[in-house]
Amino acid sequence: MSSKADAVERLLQVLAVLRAAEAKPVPRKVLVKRVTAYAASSAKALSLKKMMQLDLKALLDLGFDIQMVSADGEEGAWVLHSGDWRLPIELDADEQALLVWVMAAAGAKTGEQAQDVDVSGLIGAVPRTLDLVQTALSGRRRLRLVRHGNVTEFEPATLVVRGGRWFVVGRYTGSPKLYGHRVDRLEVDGLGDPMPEPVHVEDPELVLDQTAWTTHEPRDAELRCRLADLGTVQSWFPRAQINTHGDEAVLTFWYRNEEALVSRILGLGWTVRAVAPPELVDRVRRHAADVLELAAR
Amino acid sequence: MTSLPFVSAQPQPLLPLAAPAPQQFSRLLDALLILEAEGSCQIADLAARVGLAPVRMRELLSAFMLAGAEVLGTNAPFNLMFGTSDDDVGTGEEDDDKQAEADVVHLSAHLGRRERLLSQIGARPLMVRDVARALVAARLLRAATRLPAERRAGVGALTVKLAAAMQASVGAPAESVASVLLAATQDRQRVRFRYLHPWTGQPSVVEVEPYDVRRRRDRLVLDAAGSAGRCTYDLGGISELVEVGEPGAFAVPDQPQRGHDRHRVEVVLRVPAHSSQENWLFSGWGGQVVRAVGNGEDEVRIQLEGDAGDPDVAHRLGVLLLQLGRTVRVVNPPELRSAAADVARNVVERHGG
Repeated sequence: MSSKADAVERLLQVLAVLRAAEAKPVPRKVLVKRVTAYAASSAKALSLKKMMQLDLKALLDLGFDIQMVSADGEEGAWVLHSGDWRLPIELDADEQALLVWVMAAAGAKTGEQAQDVDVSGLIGAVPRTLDLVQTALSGRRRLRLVRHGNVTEFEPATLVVRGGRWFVVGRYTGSPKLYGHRVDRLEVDGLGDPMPEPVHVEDPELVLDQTAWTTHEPRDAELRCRLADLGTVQSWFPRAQINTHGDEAVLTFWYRNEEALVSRILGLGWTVRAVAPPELVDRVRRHAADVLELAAR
Repeated sequence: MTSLPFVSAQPQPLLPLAAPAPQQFSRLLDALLILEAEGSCQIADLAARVGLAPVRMRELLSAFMLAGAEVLGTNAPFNLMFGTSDDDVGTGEEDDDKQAEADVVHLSAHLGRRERLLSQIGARPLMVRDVARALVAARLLRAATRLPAERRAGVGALTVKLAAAMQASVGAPAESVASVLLAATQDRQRVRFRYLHPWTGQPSVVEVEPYDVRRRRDRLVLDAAGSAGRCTYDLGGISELVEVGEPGAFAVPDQPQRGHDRHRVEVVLRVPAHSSQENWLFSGWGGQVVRAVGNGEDEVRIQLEGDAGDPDVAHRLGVLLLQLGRTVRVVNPPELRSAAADVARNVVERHGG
């Protein structure tokens, strides 16, 4: 084994001894006796003490919660407290501190109190199945999904959070077509095999936007609303180009699924009106007229 | 299913063999997180993901396997097993050479449950759900108007890193409005805004005491009280928002606990069985079949937040009925059977009817 691996093993042994003490102080002499490299060391006492101090400092710097508990004049003793491990991504000290603050604001850790900001109520539920979806994504593994009673393999490409809901975009193994599924509605059987290649998705928003799903050739739509209502309307048509005409906002975009677009326009029934193409306007009008006739009976 | 530790989707840059031991130790811990989450891994793949040479990865995993046993003897937990495509590699001395040829490492299943590798050396991994919440929170806080610019920029950079590690993109849920309202609820300061009613399209300017900002299904809403009494406002309809008066201007009355005790109106709809409309009610509204009518139709029950007689309930249902179309009608309560009339008439008139 290399000297680096030996040094890592020494650190692991220090942790193992401290952990086995279950939050009770471990005196220096116990560490010297139990950790193989310390016990076998032929170095002078001072050098050995220095080595131990460097090892404990390295563990502290790595984020382990180790506390020196001996009083002045007494022999050194250390306690290991179980603490949160850092995220496995590169964060500098400022970002680490910011992360702790953000997590407290998110109510993400039960032991943390939000100090000055609490956004926990705005976040929405995190689906239980997100664990496996994220694990599959990070390990480039397939997901085994239960669909209509059968297990099928899904190749996840990316996650999208929209309106507080989590979606996973990807494709079924062997199919080129991309799908977006709400994570909270997935029944996941477990992780599948590794994927040979990652799935590439040009624009996940297009996969999730039902008005872009291909059911016919692309058509250009024009919608209008009051300028004052644009903030509300625009969030429902994120692909739209916006112009103004008098006191109206003009939204233009292409669509490939008229049924989905009609439904969305009707969902904003008081606020937005379709202007083009004529077949879209006609379909919206006929749909509403049918419902009106039924409601009037 | 227990929750899983968070593992980054971003591979780490290769660490030189001569890098200091603490850095190598740190990469080993990242590898343990991956093993904890996935259960087993190809050693070469694991090494590539945490940025170690495969030979070093094997050495460090061996060190992890041995360290506990050397200091704790038989009390040490036995966590990992090396293996090949054919079989597991034994743990005896005679198997040491085979270990060097192992291509797979996996969790030992001797305890019959998923091991918590990091907890055995005194660290608690951050779970996927914690990081997911932090990512959404960071996205919200990025727009927090009261944050100093420097901190806001820091939150922005952190959001980018978290999103990349999670391989996720996060949309903005009415974030600037939410941020101002959140601050106002915490400061107990009145607010004034233009409100476009989402179900009637009626604009108004209101001044209210904001009590709580919360999530309702996929919408954010504000519970507040103004001259018209207690009311719930959809954040998507709020614009021209300003704070007025001074902080500490009112006391917050008791709020119903989130997700509980809010009044709901049950509505029963008659729907074509197995239709897209029925699926929509199941998946988007938590609809439940209460009766199969027998002529190819089901009766499906949904719940709308609000009191019976609340005009908002009728307006919300009206828009839903308009979207569902003429094949869906209200069975109960009877007074809501014509709920879609007003909004349908408006749509017809606005589209040349």
